[in-house]
Amino acid sequence: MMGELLFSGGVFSDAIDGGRAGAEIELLPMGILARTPDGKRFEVPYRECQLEIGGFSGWMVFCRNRDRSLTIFCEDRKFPSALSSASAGILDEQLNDKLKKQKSESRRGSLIAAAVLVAIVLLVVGGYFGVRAGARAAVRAVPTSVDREIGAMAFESMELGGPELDDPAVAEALQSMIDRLAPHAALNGMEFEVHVVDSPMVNAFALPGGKIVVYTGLVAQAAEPEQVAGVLAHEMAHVTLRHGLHRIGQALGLAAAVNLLLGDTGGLVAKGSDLFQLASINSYSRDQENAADAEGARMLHAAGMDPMALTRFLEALKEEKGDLPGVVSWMGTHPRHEERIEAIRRQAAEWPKQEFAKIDVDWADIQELAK
Amino acid sequence: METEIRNKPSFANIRIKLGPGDRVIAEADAMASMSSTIDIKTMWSGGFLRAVLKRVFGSESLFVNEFSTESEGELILTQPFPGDIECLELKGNTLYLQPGAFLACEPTVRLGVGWAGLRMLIAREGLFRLKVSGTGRVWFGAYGGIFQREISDEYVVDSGHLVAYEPSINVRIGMAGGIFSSFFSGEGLVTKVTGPGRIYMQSRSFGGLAAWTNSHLW
Amino acid sequence: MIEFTCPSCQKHYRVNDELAGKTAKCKQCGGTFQVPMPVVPAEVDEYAVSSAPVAASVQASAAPIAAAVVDGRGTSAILSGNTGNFEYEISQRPDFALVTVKMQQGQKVFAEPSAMASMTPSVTLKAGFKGGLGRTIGRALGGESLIINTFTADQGPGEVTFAAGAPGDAAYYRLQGNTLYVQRGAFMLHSEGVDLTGKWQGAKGFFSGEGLVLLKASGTGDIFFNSYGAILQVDVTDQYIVDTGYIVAFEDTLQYRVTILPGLRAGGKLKSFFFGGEGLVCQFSGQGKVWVQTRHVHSFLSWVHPFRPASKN
Repeated sequence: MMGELLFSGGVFSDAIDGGRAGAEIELLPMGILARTPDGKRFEVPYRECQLEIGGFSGWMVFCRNRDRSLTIFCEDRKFPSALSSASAGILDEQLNDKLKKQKSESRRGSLIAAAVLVAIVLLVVGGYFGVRAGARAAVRAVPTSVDREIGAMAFESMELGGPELDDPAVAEALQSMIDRLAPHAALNGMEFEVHVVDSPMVNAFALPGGKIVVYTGLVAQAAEPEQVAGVLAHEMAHVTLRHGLHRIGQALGLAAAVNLLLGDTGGLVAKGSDLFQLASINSYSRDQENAADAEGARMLHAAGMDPMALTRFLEALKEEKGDLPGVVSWMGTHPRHEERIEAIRRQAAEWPKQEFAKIDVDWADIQELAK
Repeated sequence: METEIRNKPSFANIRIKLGPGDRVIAEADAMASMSSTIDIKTMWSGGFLRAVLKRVFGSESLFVNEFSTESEGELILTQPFPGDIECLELKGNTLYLQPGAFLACEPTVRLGVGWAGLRMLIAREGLFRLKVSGTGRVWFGAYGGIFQREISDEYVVDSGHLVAYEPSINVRIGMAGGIFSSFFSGEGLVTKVTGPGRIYMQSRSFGGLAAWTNSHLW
Repeated sequence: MIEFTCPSCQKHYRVNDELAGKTAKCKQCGGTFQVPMPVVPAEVDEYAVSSAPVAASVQASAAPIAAAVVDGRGTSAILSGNTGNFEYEISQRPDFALVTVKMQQGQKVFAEPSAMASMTPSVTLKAGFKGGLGRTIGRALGGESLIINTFTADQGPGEVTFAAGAPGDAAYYRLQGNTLYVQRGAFMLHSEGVDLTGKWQGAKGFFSGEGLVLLKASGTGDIFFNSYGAILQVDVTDQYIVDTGYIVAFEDTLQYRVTILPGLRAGGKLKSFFFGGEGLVCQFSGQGKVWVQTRHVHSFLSWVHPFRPASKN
């Protein structure tokens, strides 16, 4: 029986410029012949043929000569059977062996591809919500002593960006504001302790457990003590809402949650995590800031301080951006401040009007020390 | 026809000097500038149906332009993003290009669009790919610098970094390491390529750029 | 040996001197060219800047700024060498730099997440937490990555290529028992013998800005870092000022102080931290090297912001 003898394929050989070329493949009685477009001929006798099956499609047949300096390949579906009959059965053992391996490989490949797609959907949709809920529940179970320990460890490993201020007057003034707010905190067990750092940076932040760092730049910037109290209340809210722990729990808890969900199922885990890790960490922060604004305003109000002071601070910064260059106006036109100011205003409007007890501190003096 | 790829690898562009009778096919929006002596003929990329397929799935334009001249002229071709351009002379062999990589070719090169398979989607290389075959030169580009490698056994390529590969290359998806490592390392799933054959890689990926940009936003 | 590239496709060639002047056909693209005459290869120095120092504008009252390095050339040359541990190559410069590391069996390198572009299968990847638990948690609060990836050539000699996410250059530095500070986002990988710790300046604070987050690399070994934009190496001999957003790395022989440069902006005060470090500068004094990048992340973010799809709140 005569099978087909001419096929379209290619050649790998160092004798060709560029190392490869397409070729017309002919199955001769004694071996495989390949003819390239520029007329070169390459031959591999059947007796010397070493076969491999692979390529992208999975059914490309590679015929190599003994020293592997020449490879003739063909992807035609009819090639394996034509080769078998043309070579009078010499290559059958190799063919069957390789074909069997290839079949099981491709079955495995399709299964994995399907599993990956399913898992990705599961992970992205289910995982996103599942992990966040799981992490939140886990944090609730953790005692506040852990917050304090973590805060202490973080404080030790941190570069503050300046020395702590010598004169205790500023720290005392800020601590007095904190002491006025602390009884109204939503969670017990936090030890609020302020550290004032001598640096022109306008910033403040809080660590889990209650350590709060305020930079003198911020103190110098605030026109009235109530504005700093606003910032402090916001930071204390981050502590009582345990946002730091949530952020940690999220990053660490991802692996545990995913392993639980999916067990040992290939590399699909990695793909899914890629996708929702980015999303969840970004939006979490935003929610956290909004929550801290709201809780901070509530604490201020409960302590008899004007919550609108916080919005005044934001306004003051917003206005002074006028003379600053491009990058800054991006932050300026970013709707975040507007939204924050609006949100606080709306919240305050719902509370009954009351007399605010002014903060008893010689602010001018304090600002002098902070400069 | 004289050709030259200039300003590699950052803002690569192709300068082609056409003589009488010379023709070159290029992506619809690849032409940056040309002499007034050059004629353009616009055609569906490989026929109408193929063109639509290529557009929808292959990120290639619906049209290609054929540039020719009766006297002589100069043509400059570019791509929409910063990056490198490579040239390969086909000798009857075939190359698969990722969507968006194709720039130009000689009229003797055949262009086709094909199904790349689910695994290529997972490898961030798209569901479809462009198949270039026949004889003649083909120019393709990518975001980043392009470097090639002859694969004989196995090699691991991070997803999003593969530009082009020969049909003799087997591509599988795998984990970068163990489960924990793949997950946490940020590498995730990788492409495992097995030779024999050649692959072209890019030294930057759009996914990497997006992740970097996002990491600086809150 | 003559080294040259094909004028059509820039394929790299290295041929015997006797082929000088001959016409040849490119193996890759088919274009014809003439083999050039043999040339004594120019020494590929460390790239440096040829223009004036990249300093923020200074008031007359500020201390005089010392001149920095001269001589810019080779910004797109391939840098290669042997660190004493392994061979390396930095290619695709200056905008899409790729670092290739060729390890012998048993060697390892430690890299930032997602940095790997490709590798031989003889290399195994393991992800782990860097530093102790306290530091790890501290860094999580600061928004930094917790993970360091270990690449070990445990099944034989192996090769790994690394690429950053941002367009830019990469550089190699040899630590000889000293310390190098590297800005967050610039660190790529280091060899064994290097201890890497984080020094971070506070959590994302009230105004969600980013300060100067430095990694401290010390010990004896090799470190590679990348930049957004080109890298300019500056040899400081007295004083030098760099906007914090442009700092890539600097040696610990320099004292540094983060401050607002007086008179930098009209009106004096600057909402530096609020607006993401803009206006904050780092004053260096003493002797040592500073690596400066030519693009600023926040400027890019502000430029790209109007084009981004509206994000949900």
